[in-house]
Amino acid sequence: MNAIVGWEYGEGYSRGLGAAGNNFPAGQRSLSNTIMSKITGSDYHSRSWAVLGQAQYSYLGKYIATASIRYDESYKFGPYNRGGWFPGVSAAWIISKENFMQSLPAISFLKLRAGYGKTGNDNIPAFQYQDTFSLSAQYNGNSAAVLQRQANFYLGWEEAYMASLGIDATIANNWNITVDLYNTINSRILLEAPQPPSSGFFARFENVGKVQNMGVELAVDGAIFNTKDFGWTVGLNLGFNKNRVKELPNHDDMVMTKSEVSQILREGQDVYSWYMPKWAGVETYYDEDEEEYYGLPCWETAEEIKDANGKVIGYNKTGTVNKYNQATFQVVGSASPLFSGGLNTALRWKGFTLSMNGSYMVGNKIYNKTRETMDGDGAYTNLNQMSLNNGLGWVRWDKNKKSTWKTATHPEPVAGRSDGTNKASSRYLEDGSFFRLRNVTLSYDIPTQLTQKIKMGGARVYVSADNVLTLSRFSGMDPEVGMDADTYHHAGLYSSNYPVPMSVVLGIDVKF
Amino acid sequence: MKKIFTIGFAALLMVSCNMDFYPSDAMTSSQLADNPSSAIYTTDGIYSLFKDYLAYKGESADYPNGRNQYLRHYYQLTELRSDNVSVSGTTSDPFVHPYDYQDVPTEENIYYTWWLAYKVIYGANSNIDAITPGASAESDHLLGENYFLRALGHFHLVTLFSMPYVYWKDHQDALGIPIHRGMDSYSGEVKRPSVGQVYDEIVLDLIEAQKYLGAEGVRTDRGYASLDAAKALLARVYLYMEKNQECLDICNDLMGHAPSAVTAGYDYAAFPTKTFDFDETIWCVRASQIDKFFTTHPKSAIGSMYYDDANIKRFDGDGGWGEHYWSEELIELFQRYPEDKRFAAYFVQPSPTGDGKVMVTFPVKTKSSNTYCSSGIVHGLTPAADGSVEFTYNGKTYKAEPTDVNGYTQYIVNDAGFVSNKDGASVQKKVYVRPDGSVRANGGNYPIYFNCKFNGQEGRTNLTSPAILRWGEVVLNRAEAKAKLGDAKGALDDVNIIRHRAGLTGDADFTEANYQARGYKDVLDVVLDERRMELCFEGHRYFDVFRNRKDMDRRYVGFHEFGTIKWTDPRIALLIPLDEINSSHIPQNRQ
Repeated sequence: MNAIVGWEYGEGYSRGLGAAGNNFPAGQRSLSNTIMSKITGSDYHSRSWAVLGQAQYSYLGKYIATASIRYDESYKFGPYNRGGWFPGVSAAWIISKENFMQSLPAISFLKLRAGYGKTGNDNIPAFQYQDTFSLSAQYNGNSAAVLQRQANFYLGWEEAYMASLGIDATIANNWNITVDLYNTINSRILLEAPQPPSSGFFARFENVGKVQNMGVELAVDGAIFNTKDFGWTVGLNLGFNKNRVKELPNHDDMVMTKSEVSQILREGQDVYSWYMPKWAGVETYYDEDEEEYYGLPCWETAEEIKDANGKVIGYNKTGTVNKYNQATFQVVGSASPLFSGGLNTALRWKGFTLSMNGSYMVGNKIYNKTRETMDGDGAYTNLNQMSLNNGLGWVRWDKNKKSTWKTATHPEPVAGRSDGTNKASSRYLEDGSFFRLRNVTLSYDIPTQLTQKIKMGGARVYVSADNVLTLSRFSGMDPEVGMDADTYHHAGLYSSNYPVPMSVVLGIDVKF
Repeated sequence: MKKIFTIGFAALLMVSCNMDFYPSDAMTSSQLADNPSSAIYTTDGIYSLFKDYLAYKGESADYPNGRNQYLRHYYQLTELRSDNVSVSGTTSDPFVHPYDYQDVPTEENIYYTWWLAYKVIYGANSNIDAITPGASAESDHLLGENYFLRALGHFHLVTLFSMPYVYWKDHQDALGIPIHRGMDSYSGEVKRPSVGQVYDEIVLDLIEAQKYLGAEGVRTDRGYASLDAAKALLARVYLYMEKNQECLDICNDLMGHAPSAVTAGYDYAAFPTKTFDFDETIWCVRASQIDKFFTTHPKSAIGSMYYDDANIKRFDGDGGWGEHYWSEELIELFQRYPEDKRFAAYFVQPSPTGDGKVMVTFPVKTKSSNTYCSSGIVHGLTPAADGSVEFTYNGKTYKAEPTDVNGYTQYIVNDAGFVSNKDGASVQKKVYVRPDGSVRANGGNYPIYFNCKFNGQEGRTNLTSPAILRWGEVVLNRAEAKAKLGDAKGALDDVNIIRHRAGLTGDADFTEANYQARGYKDVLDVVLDERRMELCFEGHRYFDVFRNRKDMDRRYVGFHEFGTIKWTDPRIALLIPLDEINSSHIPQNRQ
């Protein structure tokens, strides 16, 4: 049994001063010789503190229990909700140390773990609970105060309740297996909750809603052969995660728009649900006045299907339209994968080793924003257009090729069009599944008998290649978009991302 | 052990700290409330909203191109949907969608304008709540300004996002926009009252504003709202409501003390460079080259959209996008009287060849369902002695003949092959003959006609302080009210005031005897054409047409649907931003 009690205290202080000017005369280096553009100054103070206690108990090296609790206060929160209590318990049982396991020598190690705890998050900018006026604007030569946000003196900790169950095992001496099950519920989420813009504000930080993440993670690694001259090891990991929005304020949907692309938060649905008109392909249209055929873009109109509680659970297509702004916004897929993981393997024969590792993701949808400009059917006459000949079955509607009237995926090009074919729709939503062979390395360890002759401790020559192969049906440069969101981009959005370079390295490692 | 642990924990818990910190570069509302002069800051803050960039949602203030400026969006959402402007091809800038009546409720021009107008209203409500009436002449003036700003916010919103007042008057079923008068209005459910109710509340605010704005010598700069500004805006609102007598009364009151420049005229070319110094201005939004919107993205200002100084160098030579041009029809209207000072001051044709050659342009309808119209254009032509111009297009030769229409010259091609649905070169017989000059080719050909009505302040190409209210409008408001009240002579006299100061006299005068011979059915049409010219690009034309139950004729060259928009077309009301619909569940337009 051991225990600790502690007190944490954090204090931060920052001061900033900046000046910027434009139009430096040639050769001048002094700011005073410019047209003044900006002066900034700031003086920020931050503080947080916590009390914590933890106790651990271990019995016979087989049974381990831990309990902890902490109380945190953060200056980022409103005066009514500054503190939060965060307890946790966990237990482990090393089953392989039990007597009854001695009869199963194939299982050399077996451990069962379980835990439950609550943690807090205060990762938001400072002062968000206050209604502050910015004074950085000017009007007619005088300081002008602009209200930045409405106050929320009840802003407090976001909480995560995490339950986990896991098994670690080693079998047949060289196979390690880890299985983890988890269920995490985030509640009182710190979110910039949308406000009706007619209030003069579009969002404010609130503790709103609940999101659940549950999943399984599996990892196996071990050696298939392991002899003096020949060895083969493999490792594999696989993770299934399912997230759901469990609760939103007033049960209202929240549409999150960034760079004119939207995702929606809706109860019962994936957190990263894309929300945009559904592309319905190309329609061949006959204009009777002009006696001419046109290949027009189509989007769906739809009615919401609601359950008994009035929650939208799907859409019924009601027709198609040729104008983007008449199409129905709807949920058209999610940026979350069904599963993802990685694998690695190494083959060894005498001094040679061939190793490979790769990763994969399956079932996510990527929004390819680059196509809004590069695949806009002529909306941009000053930008290069993507080749349709990319093996994805893309076909351009062509007045003179009747075969395309049924198969076209792309409408007739119109220079400088403005009917919105290139606006955000499921047209640019693509299957993000991929497998990438990240690295292949072939190496040879020069036998030590040889190296010792020239007084070397050892030497190894190798050739190594990164990003050797990517299997994907994604039309952009790199399907590995990731789930990080930032100010401009949703999770799962691809926008002119740099392609990953393939690199080949030839090398020699020498030890003395 | 356990006891020690518990006692230790509890003891530490009692050590608490002060956690109240405030940002050094901002003030909280309670800090401001303690400052007696805070109403000046917070009122000036409202004015600053019209010109400054503010961040909306995930978008930084100047992302992606610093386009989110209220004034820029406002001028584009109004003037670009009228018949005064021709847009030269597509761009990533969403102004093309409202221009073509295909506005998208997730685009920045829609959501930013909506949100910012309501931010103006919130700011005004907050100030009206905080300022005690009668405390001082200064604070009363501020109070009046805030009533004015609240009215202006609602007026911009209801004119942009609802059908015209007259449509509501005739049909009674048009929805207005949510009203916020008073801080307590923010706690209730968001609703869309009728258009009529919104106008009634605007009138109340403008009457209230006048009560507080009378003091002499207070906040006299034209960058601030004044008693005249409240009256001039109310006159406009009454005109929109067809309360013609009320409009006339206010205009007469205003004209009773109008500065002499209103009739004597002023330097049109210099006006945009110093609106705030001109007597013509009643209220302008004062911008400055030290403003962040200008230091970071000068090319995003409205002036840059109409004009590019890079080669012309009339000002500092700064480039502009130069993508909005005068419509051929507006030019033609001005060219009836070539000595018009206004046209000379604001019309700029870059790089005219100057060799006496002309070009012929005409609309070409390029697609049926992706309807937009571009331009057929033939350069380097020499007119024949009789003024006619022969030109070759698509291998065929046509002749544009000068034709007298109501005393004005138009060019007509009398050749059945020139106009037909299928193979004809043009979609109408009428063509335009202009001095030869350059063209922008962007999915079509667009002859470049710049406009410098928003340029030149502090010597900077793309800077101006737009006059939102000016005397020229007051005169024309009175003319229109008189025309509608049956005072034809009075209306034409007012029109002639505007024409005289623009250098049009003598035969250029309109009289009751001559207007019909010039093709006008009634005096109101004369007034509307004069308004079109005098106030062009200032955001009036779009409303002036529809609120007079007239249709918008857009059968001219431009990147838009070739056709006519009926005054009852539901597309006149912009779509409300999706963010609003999703959060307050008010009904969308055009449903």
